[in-house]
Amino acid sequence: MWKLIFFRLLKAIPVLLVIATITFFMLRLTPGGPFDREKPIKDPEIKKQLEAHYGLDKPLSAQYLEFLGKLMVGDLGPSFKHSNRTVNEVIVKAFPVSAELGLWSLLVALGLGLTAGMIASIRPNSFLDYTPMTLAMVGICVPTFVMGPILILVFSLKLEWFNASGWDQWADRVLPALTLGGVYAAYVARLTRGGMLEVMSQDYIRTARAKGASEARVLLKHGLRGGLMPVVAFLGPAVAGLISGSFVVETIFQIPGLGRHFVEAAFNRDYTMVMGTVLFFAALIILLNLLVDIIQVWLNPRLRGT
Amino acid sequence: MSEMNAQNSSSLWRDAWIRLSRNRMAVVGGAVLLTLGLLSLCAPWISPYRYETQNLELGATGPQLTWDTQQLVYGTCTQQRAQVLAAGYEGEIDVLPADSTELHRTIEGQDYGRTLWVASAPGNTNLMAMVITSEGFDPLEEIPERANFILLKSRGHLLGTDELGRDLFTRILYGGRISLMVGLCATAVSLTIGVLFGAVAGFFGGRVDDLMMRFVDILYALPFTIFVILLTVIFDRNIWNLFLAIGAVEWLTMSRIVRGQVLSLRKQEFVEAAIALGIPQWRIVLRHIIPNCLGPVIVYTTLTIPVVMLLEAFLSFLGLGVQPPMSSWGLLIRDGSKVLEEFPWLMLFPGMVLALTLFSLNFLGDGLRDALDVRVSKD
Amino acid sequence: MSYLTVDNLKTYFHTRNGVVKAVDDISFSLEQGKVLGIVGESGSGKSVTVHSLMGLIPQPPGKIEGGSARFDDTDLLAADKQLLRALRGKRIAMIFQDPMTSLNPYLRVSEQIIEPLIIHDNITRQNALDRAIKMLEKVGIADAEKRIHSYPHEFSGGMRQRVMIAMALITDPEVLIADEPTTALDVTVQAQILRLLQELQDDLGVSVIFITHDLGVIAELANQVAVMYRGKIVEQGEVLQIFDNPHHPYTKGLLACRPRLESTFKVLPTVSDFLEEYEKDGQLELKERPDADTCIKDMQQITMPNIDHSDVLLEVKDLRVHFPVRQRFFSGSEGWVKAVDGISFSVPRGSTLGLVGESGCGKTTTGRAILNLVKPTSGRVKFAGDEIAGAEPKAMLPYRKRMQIIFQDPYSSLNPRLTIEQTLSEPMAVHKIGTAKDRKDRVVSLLEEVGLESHFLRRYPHEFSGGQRQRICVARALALEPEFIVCDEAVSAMDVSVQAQVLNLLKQLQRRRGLTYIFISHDLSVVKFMADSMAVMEGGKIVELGDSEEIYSQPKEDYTRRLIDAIPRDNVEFIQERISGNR
Repeated sequence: MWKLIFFRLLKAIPVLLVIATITFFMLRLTPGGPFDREKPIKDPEIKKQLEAHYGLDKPLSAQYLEFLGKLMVGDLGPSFKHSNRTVNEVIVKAFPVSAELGLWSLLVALGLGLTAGMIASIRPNSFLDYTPMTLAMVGICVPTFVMGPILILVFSLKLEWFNASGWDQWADRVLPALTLGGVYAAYVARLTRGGMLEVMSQDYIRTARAKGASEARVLLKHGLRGGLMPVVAFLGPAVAGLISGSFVVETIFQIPGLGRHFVEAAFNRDYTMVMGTVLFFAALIILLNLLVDIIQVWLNPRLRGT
Repeated sequence: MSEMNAQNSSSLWRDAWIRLSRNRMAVVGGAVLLTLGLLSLCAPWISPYRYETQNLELGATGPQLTWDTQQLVYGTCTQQRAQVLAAGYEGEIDVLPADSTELHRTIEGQDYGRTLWVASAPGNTNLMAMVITSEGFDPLEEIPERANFILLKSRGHLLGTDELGRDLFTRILYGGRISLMVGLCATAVSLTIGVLFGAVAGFFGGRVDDLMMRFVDILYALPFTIFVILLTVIFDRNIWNLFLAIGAVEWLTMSRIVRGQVLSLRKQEFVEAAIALGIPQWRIVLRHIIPNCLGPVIVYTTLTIPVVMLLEAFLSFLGLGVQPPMSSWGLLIRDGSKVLEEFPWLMLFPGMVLALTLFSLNFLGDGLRDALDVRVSKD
Repeated sequence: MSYLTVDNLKTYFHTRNGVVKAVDDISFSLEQGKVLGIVGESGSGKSVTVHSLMGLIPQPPGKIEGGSARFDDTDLLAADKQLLRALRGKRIAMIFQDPMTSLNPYLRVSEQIIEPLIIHDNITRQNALDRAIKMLEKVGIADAEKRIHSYPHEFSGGMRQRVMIAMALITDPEVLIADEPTTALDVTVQAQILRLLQELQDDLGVSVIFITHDLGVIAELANQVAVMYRGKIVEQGEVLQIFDNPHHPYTKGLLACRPRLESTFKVLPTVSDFLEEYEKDGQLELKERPDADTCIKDMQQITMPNIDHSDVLLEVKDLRVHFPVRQRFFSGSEGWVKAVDGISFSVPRGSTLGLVGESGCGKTTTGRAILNLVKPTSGRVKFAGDEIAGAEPKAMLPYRKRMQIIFQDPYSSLNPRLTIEQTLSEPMAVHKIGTAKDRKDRVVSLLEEVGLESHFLRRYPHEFSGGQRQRICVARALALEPEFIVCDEAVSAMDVSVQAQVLNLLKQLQRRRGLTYIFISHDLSVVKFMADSMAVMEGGKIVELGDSEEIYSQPKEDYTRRLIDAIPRDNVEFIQERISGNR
């Protein structure tokens, strides 16, 4: 197990390096710098000063090496657009907000999804199956950026139960978490149903029944673990999805999280900020995927090395 | 052997087609898609408006569910308003009788739909009137019941208009062109890359396969949407780059599926038998491997389209996709959600259309999967 | 004393294509301490029967339409779920066919074995574990105390089946239902498991219902036998009577069509030699053919062609096939699996060489290596005097016409997207044999030759049964008029009655066309029927090679002897001996 973790972390380093290099050169090699587009700075003197300030006047290879050097010690450089703030500062401030949103959403996704999926799998092709599965289909087909505004419209503008935006009180968590978690709840529900149906048709379930185990015991002790494997496997992509979903949700609900900063940075071509957040997200996704893999190995004895 | 007495033999494709046509949801999904596709394609002939045509004075109007309203409007209008109105006016100018009976007689049987602007709208209580002449316009003073009338005629707006007075239905149709095109083209890009990559890896196997799949594994670890956003940041936000950016990241799963299929088919005994019979490799690929890979590829392609469309909508929603005045459903939803409280329909209708499309594609995909009896899992 | 009495059981499946009468009005009874063997081919309804008793039929589509099953004052078919659950695993236990899938892969073996005790008995976990360890020792698992905490995937197939048996017997059940428990196992392992079951049955006095398709297994174990065919019991009685003096034509056919070590049939009888089926008023009627015996005798009046042993068609010398085992990316060294490890033999023209051995012995790889379907690592393969080992595809092309292969699985060996005509004419088209018209004529005559009708031409493989498909595969192999065919477990997946037909067909084709075969099988009796000489393989090496008759009568190697001993004995003398010896 420790070996696995070690090697995976080792493998993550070149991956991150590749990402860093690609993003760096893609951003630098395209014509025009951050100060050229949208609102070009007319005065060449000011532009020169700005470029010197951000080290853009040096040769590209020097810039790259400097960037890598700083990256090694975890310094992502200053933000081009947020003057006086470094990318690190922005991330440190905004990430906890996003992480909290992510956790709440994951809770919603698993809570709603698992329940719905389990219910649906008990009696396939019955009313109890169709209802949650239709809801799940709705969840998948109504994207976050439609669901979010609808929830706002109904629950904050019409019913006035929650604030339409902000991240101050406990109640502010509800709508964003529902919006972001809802989609993944739908996927989880479908995967749970599929996994449970698959498992419940296995030979070893028949064995369990032949032992005289009650249906509840068959389901919980013998079925659940195997049935949830697809859900666990999905957690990796889901985490990546939650992160990109957070861009939308944080924008809609005006939550001061990292996702929103990333989108703004992308919009404003704030290169250092974009690069910093991309690397941060990449590292996060790799780490979380590793975590998911560990959970999978822990749940499935066949994956454990002998 | 009694089952052999059945008269018609049937290929697996035909069986699949019959199974698909029995699946009601899939058929409905297919029909909806076909309709939406045709409507979008024929948008210029269906809708009397153009998607970029603005009518600032009209502003946002609610859905009227018809195109055939004619409105007679009179009232007051401030100087400022009138200027705006005239500035936005490019068509012919007809001076119309100020008397209402006379007016009716004049307009009867004539189509003024594209020549005059509407100036009334629900929520726009300040009615206005003016005389438009070839020299310019004359805003009228406040007029009691009997005064100079002017016709401000409009066709109705099926789903209402946005704040710039653009017909929403038209914009949805035109937006559909972009959204569906992105769905199809980006899927085609991902299909091409994915199938080629997967087939090569699966067919050559061994080290080549190892290397290629390790590459895919690494890419899998990358944060996709972030990558696409990055691409749209770097390159110009035009639609072709969007196709490429989305297609470039969506091929991974397809390549895995194709590779898996090819690998398992290569081990199938009928392929071994073909080799033993001395059938040349190209023929084995063409006759034995490709037709048997097709099922999963079709199914997964169908299921990729909604993913891609969603991604496009997502990007457009963030303002990183299609750029105005071009519109796509994602962009419409974005615009709509900004004025959610005042004009909810501007978000709801495009949202519903997008959801309906995704619904149909998913049902069709599920139906195809059942009909072709393939298991496609997202890795 | 009758213990479990089943009367008029009917289980139907309501499918979209109509009602399938899987079990149609059957009655039987199980006596205390006895073994009732239910024998039948696939689709006969034998498994559905016992699953009905246990309440394990998936409903819908299955439905028990009628009948009763009395077990100790309880009607199993009418009992409510609660009651049935209390019986299942406590008083009636069950073991299943595939030990690989019948154990829960996510739970430790210990958890699974003690589960029946935990469910049914008021027992502490520790006591349950102690009993489980004792039970595991009893079923022959060494080091049970440690092994009990392993997961199923850490056991071999035979060991898993022992675990299953331990799990079933841990509650001291009165009835054990065994559903094809040895079918998925190698012969030697099967023999061990059968012996174990017999010992345990003697020891514990448990009554057993034993389901199998294999009459040999029945002969080894059963006291009473019920023969099932198409959802009905066509004959039942004492085991000796069934084997010695069968009444029903189906039973006769079933008994006769099995190739046996001691029989000298040149052509195997088939069930249809005994049994005539026709439909009357929508009901299936079975009738005995009166002339079956003479008919079978006549069939044997053929002369086998003489084999000239100096005319060698295929010569294999020191053939090796090693596969690399890829280790994980970082942990370096690559190992090798020596699938075939230096074997040599030669096959005279017109003869059959049998390759026998247990799974993993390298027999299949040998067949494929000869045809260059896998690349030999080293060694020589001479075909008609020409060296072909490791030849490039181009160089191999002329030989592709002359040597062919038939595979085990008739389902995956036909391309599902091609019609039979396309499948059969493709090789001829590729080798540019004849015009399109000629090829079509050839396809028709090929189909006739393998006993299929020409109107099947435009059909697709999924419309055929397994036996028919295998005939199509044979026809495809014949399409290029080869001299030499490798039959790789070509009949292993088939019911005995179908197996007999295909074996007869292969022999007939050999006589007619002077074909040379390598016949690969794990079943010694089948190889004995087919082969002139044979090679016994173990661990990639040939341990014994020679005339097949001789090897059977005087095996020189221990391994060969073990293989032969493992074959279930189904002769009347053996059964007599067993019954008198036992009780």
